[in-house]
Amino acid sequence: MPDIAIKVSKATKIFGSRTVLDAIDLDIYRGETLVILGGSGSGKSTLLRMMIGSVPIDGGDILVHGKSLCDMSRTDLNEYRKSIGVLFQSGALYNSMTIADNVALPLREHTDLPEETIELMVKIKLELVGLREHATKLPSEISGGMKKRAGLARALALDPSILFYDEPSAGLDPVTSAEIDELIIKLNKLLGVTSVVVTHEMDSAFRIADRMVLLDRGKFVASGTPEQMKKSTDPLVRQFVYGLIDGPLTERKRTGAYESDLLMDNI
Amino acid sequence: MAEIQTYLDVLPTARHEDDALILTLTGEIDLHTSPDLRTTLLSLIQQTQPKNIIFVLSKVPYMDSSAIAVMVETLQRVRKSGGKVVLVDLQPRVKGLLEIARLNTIFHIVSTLDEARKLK
Repeated sequence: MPDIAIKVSKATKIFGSRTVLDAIDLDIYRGETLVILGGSGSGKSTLLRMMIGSVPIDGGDILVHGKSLCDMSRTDLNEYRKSIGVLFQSGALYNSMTIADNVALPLREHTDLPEETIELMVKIKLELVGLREHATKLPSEISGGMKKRAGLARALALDPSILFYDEPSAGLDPVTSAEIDELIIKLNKLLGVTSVVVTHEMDSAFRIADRMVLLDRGKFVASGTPEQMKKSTDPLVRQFVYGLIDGPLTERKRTGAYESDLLMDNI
Repeated sequence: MAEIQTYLDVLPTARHEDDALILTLTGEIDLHTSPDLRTTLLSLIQQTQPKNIIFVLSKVPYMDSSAIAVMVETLQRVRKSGGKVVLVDLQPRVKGLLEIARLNTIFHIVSTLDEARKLK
């Protein structure tokens, strides 16, 4: 049995009267790249936020390397967040700081490392994402793809063993998106980093995933390797994987309540 | 040949042999242990003025980028006098980190201590 890095056990999230995640179970193995697929409102981003400890869990639990997120105090949660890396959709860079200072920030804030070590570490991380020559630029002076790579360098600053990616390909051209995918694959294969990727970009998902799960209306409806997902005969999986116009998702939109659709879009 | 006492868990043995400083590291080295390692290494370099530094890494399953940065800093020191840093017997994850950070060309990487000794 492979080691489990993250164990999601009957995890539930309720916003108001709406159950966004309904007692879901998921094991994520050490060193694998797991892709969480799902349309808008499926609950995938909420699940990611629960796994990084930024959204409270209303039922069940999530264990990371055997430690329960529910049992963690605020201090424990802060320590936990230092041990993981998160690449947010926007890159989440500070506009007033250079790219190098953005990458150095977690090291300066959370460690006692000497400045000489930090400067070398920043150079290493920036080289890793191909941005070393842009170290002194401000975020406003670089492209969207470069911001995303800078965000990844910052997520890697503290050498996390688990990396979470929230829509890493969103808003990127196909070539830049493929470059980000290559980086995710390299980090996974060479460093043994466990990667959890939330996306609805199928090209990217098939490139990077060891395993995929499909979330729909707060429940997992399918899981498997990319090949297994491609061969699935489930109408919902097929519609999602192949981007078909006709299928359960569009049928649901035609017949579903307008109000429910509006509310679920904001999950 | 002179054995040097270091009092560090990750560096139980340091040896000055000819013009090389041979450092046998042990265990995982991360940002909690790398600052002390750095202080010790810089002091050893000042004390022994080696031409080359040899890191024996057989017993290091993992080191993070702060430890790699420390090794780069030692290279900065010895390069001033034409010296080199040799890494011996890299374990897969350490090798992966050096490869991904494109540092495998900056250091000399060999499989055995004997090979390292021959690199003058």
